[in-house]
Amino acid sequence: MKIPFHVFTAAALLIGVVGCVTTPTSKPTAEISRPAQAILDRWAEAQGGESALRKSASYAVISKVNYGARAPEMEVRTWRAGDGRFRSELVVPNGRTFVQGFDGRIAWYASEQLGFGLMPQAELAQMLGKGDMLEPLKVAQHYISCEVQGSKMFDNMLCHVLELKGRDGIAETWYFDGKTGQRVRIERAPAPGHPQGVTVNLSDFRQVGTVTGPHHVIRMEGGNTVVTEIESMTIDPKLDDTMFQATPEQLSDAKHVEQALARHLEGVGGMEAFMRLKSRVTHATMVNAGIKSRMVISQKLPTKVLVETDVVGMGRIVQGYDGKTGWINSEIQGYRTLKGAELQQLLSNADLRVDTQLGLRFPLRKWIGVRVVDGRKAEAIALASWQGVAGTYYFDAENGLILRVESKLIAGPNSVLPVTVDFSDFHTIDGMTMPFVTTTTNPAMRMVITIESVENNVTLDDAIFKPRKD
Amino acid sequence: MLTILPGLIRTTIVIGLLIPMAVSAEDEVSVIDIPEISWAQTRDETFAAVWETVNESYFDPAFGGVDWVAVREKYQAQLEHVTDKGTLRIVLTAMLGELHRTHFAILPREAAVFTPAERSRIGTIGANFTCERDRVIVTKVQSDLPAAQEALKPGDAVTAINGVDLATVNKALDQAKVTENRREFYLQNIVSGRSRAAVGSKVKLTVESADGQTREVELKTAANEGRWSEPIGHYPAMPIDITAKHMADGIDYLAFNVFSPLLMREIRSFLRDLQPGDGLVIDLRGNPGGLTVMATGICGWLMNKECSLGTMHLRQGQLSFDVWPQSGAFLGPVAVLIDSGSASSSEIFAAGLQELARARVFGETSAGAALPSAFKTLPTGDLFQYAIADMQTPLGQLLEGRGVLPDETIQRTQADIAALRDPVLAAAREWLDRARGTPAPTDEIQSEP
Repeated sequence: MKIPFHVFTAAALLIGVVGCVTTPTSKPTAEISRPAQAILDRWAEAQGGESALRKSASYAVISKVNYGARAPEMEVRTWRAGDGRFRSELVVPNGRTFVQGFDGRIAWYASEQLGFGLMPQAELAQMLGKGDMLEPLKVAQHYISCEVQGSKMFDNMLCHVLELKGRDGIAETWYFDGKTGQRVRIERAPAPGHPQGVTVNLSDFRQVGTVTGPHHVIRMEGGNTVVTEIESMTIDPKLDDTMFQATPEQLSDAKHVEQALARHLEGVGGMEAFMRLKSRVTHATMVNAGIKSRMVISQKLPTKVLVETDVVGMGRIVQGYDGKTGWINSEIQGYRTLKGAELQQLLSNADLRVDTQLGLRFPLRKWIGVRVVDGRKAEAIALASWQGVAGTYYFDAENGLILRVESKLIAGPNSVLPVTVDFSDFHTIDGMTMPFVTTTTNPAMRMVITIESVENNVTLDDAIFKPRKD
Repeated sequence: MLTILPGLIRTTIVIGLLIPMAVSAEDEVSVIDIPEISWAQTRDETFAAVWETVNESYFDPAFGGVDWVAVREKYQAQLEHVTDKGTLRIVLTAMLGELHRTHFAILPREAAVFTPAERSRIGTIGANFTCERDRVIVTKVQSDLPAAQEALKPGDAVTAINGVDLATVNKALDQAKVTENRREFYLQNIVSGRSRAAVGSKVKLTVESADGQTREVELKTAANEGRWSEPIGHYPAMPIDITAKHMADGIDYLAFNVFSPLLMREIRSFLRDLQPGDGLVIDLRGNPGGLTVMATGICGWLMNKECSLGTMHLRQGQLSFDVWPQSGAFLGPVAVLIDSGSASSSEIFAAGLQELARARVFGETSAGAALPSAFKTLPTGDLFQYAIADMQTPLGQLLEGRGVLPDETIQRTQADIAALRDPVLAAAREWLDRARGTPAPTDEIQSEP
């Protein structure tokens, strides 16, 4: 089952900001005008006042999160200490649990099935911003500007509107109910990873203890809606320090994994080499069941790709992605668009910088141990995204290069083949190291792709990636 | 890092075809004229390749209850007495026969065509065949082969070929509890295979005409002067034939002898030209299959929604035969004709369209031989076809052993064929006319449109 990426953010939005980048110890930097500050002060009062907010900084919340048709309803449990430590648990209907935590030093996430990972600093900053009871008091810390933009109607409420700019450069618009002073709506401008922006509506304000906050949150992004309802909230609960901590075993394994990933990045050439890469044309041959094909793969940032394959005896197969549409056209099956997992697989294979993004793409990892692959010592790590396990990756213990991946191949919307992919014959081109031979096996087949030539930073017309329906 | 391109997997992995053997294992005995030690090594490596391929890739890890390890021991024990390729083929074929499945075959390299120069390995006596009630009947005689025209007539029943008595074979198959449709397929293949011996070969037939007269016929195989498919990997080339006709009365007729990619462009062009008020006959009688993905490609020109012709289940994983509707697809009524000679990809095609309620199927139960397969070349140079998956229809039925049951079962008898009548085609046309709202013709329907 796929877990939408913002599963935790939906729950944490109950009180906090959508996604501002901040650090807990940053000094105030924003110059806030008096009218804007007056709106923020009123907001703090509406929530209970500064004293009540400070006393309520520690809390526990249970909420239900509804994704509509995309996934079954889930329960999220969140504990937050006044000093910013937190733990969130997402419980899915089949009993699996995903956990995020921060013990004041180390932030992490974990899933029994998918693995463990250390949370990147930027993501931690976002998490700390969200769910902070003292948010109304910390706007100057979290944002670099905050201005009044007049009044607007929203949901039959006349609202005061503030425009803010986060430290990440992303603009936000906040709406405050003119009658109650509560913040009722947040509009966040498009940002990397969120090309259509995010909108959050907050309602059903209830008092718990001495603070009042929204118990109903609707988060909308790109046509997807997530509804979060608080079921219960406890102020100043008894919190056990260990609940925020990862286990020593998890941290030890994470250390092995981080070292392997770092070695891998160095082994493939390092970030700098890949940042110089804008496009690539690869010529290759493929042999599968004795059938020979010639392939030309054209790639262009950000994720444009065109794969032209001539299969002896069967004709041409062309597939591509032009930035909007993934597609495939073959002599035999005709034209269709690619969707879902099939499209994602094409895009991940097509990404010129995919070799530098393993850590980002797969935040959950399981250290399996040291194995031998093709005579070489390899570190075996299971890598997973929130959507599920990507596969077991075998990293050369010496040079960090990936020697093998055991994974699942999406061969169509209803077609899945477990495969083992072996990489060999590594060459370095323009500072980037890659395998020139890729062997994909399943009990029923064995496919070998051999690169003949690689040309980097070739001028490629965008038109070549467009869907070819004829 | 270049990884894998799944769009190619389905296209290149699967062949569903039963190849009529041009030469039977018994007919050929070739002595290896190389040092004995090399033959022993080649023989043993070939045996190992066959056994291990099945061991690793057979879709049922339980081998249908067969003790595959014990099978190896049984046949390995015979190897030391095997001194030639022909005998090795017999041993390997017998070993594969323990699985009681179709799509396991050893094809002599000497009978396979991979280059134009090798085309003389497959000749023709100029006749097509069908099977009716365990009798192999001549359906058509090539008009450009005078010898064939003189010797054979549509409606002639072949009772023996090159000394092989078909009644005896039929009895043995019956005793082995082979199903009727499968028996018919095998009998037809015995005749088809031998009638395609290398160019210049003598083929002796015992023939019984429709009026009961028996005669002996001897023909020499001639060259296949028509079109040939291209070899695809280890899958050899073969003669291909297509008939695609738009008829004045709006009934369109498409027949092709094998699912070969070389025919796809013509088929696509033909289907694209169909008119909204037309009815379409797709005649797959005698079509033993071919590249299975072609079935989905053709269906894309007959559908307006995404669907599946079924799913193949491998030892690990599954592949769906997805159909992608193409712009301008023909959405009028479709009749598919099958008989016991329709096998493999033909059955997947017919069953899929039948269960999707897209076509009505006429004729006789198909061969029940529908396992997706792959080919490889063995150390001896012979080709090894092996099933890699089981095949389930859209409604989850297994075709292997069962076949496609027509919506309307109609037999084309020896008398029909001799009189150039085709009651199967006639019934299909009648239904198409009703389905598209025009009155049925009252004329005698010829066997060919």
